[in-house]
Amino acid sequence: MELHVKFLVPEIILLVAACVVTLLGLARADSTRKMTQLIAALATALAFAASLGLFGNPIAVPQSTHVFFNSQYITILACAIGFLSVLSSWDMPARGEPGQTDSNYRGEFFGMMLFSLAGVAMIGKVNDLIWLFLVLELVSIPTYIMVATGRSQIIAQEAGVKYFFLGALAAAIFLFGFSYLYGFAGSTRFVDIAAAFTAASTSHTVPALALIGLLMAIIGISYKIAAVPLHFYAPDVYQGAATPVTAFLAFAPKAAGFVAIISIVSLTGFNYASSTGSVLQTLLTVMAILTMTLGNVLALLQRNIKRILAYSSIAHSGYMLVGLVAGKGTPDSPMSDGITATLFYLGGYAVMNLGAFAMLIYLQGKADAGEDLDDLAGVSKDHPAAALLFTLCLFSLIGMPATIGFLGKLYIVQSALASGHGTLAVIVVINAAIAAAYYLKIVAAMYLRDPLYPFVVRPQFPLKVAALVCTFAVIVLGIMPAPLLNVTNKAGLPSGPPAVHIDMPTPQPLVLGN
Amino acid sequence: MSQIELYHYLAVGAILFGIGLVGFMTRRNLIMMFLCTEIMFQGVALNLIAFSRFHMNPAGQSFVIFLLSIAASEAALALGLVVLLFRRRETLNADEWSEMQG
Repeated sequence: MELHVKFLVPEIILLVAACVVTLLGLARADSTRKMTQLIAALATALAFAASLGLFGNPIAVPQSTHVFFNSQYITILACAIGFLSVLSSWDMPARGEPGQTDSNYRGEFFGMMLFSLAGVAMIGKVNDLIWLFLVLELVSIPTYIMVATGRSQIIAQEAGVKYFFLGALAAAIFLFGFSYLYGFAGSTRFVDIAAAFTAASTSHTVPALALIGLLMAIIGISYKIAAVPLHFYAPDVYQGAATPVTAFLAFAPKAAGFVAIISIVSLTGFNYASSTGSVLQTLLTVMAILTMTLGNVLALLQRNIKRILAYSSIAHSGYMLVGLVAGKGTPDSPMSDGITATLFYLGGYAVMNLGAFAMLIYLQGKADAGEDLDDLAGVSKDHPAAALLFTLCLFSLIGMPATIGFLGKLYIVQSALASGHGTLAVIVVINAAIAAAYYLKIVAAMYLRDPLYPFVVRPQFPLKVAALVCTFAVIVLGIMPAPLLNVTNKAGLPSGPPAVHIDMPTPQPLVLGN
Repeated sequence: MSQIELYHYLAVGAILFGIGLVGFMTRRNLIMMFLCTEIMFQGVALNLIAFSRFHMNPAGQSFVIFLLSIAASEAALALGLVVLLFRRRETLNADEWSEMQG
């Protein structure tokens, strides 16, 4: 017990701060309630320091209890992006005009954000199905509340209800999968399940039960990453939620979902890709192709910027799934490691997407403004710096060279090619080209058109800091990816148990013991 | 006659899950839709308990305890959201809630 607690220092900081912030949000005095975002920012900064091990706390979880080991990277990412998310939602939840913010919900809002972040920080340390379920719910349930209470427009409530109901459905689906995995292995611990898979595949007796369990777990969790088949909620929820909440939604559930899916896949060994015809690989391939194509094509039809970014978020999940299809790669060629590529892309996507959303928040001075393409027309005339930062982040989302988005796509494509998925790599490249069209549509609106009316911006200093830091990171990490790459490479260690070939099932006699 | 075996429990669990899934797809009242997800959770819980007995270890039962507590907290959240919605617009029909299209 003690052994585990000392690895959870960043999460404990976040959870304690979440409780403090939620309680302070109930304070009578307005000035006390206004302190909540300051405390939230401090807590995420402290947790970030703790995730780097600056307080002398151990950061490396013992590997023997883990099939897949990526704790430090995800914790660092969660704390860093969490800090920037708090900065970019500084005057949340805004109601009406700037300056007239109703701070009734303020404490709850940041409290929920910190709870969710604690879940994301913890997800890499999960080594048990029960724990995985609890952490996924810890990430999700606060986000339902954030969507519904983030702003007072009726579409926010509609979005919140949609998000919550479909989220509960998805949870039921992956839980059903978890129950079959438990039934197959007789244990909820990842190492035991992985051992059961290894044993069953060497004797070619992987039961249908285990396969159904794996597939349903992955399909259920695909809700969190907004991938086909459970992607359809994303545009409505992203549009309905307040913009800072949307920015958070594009990171927290997605990061947690990807780590969860990687963990689930790791149960069967990472080299499943080598066993052609493997059901898991087919499922992931189909999901990846459909997700990125559908996201990109539908994004072309949108005029609402938040809907465009929602479909782009779906498409980026598709790219990241390609890394999963590529699998763990071989030790002698590190560039073929699709899991590392996916984790790298996850970090890059989080940074560039938050940068784009921060600029969108900045330009949305009025409650309802800045959602349509027309609202951004001619931004560059009045706010050249904002337009420039926004454009740089969008270029990174396109995958222009010298940005982190380019490197992310490069690693994904490399891993796909190295593992012999040439077609998939081509589909990624074609999709990246399609995606350029709708991102450039936003850039064109900002630079080539005349303003339709004067802009009102949100002048908050923290928001500017968040946008600057994100854009800076997009460019610097795009040119010098070594720091991030080092952490992601470590994240992929150690490799899972030996490759498992999933045969088509033979029914196993199951009789209830007495 | 045969004794009750593991797959009987699994069948009931799967049927509960299926009823919940079909109900979720076909019902339009938000409260009914939420109850359908609860039925799906109960199907999962039955699976877990049956497996727990089959393997003779308590992990499945403790899983069920956690599952039920999460389901309870989700129920609290669902009721809160439903009340919030009903105050805004006096209906709980899911089809009436479609401001956003595309």
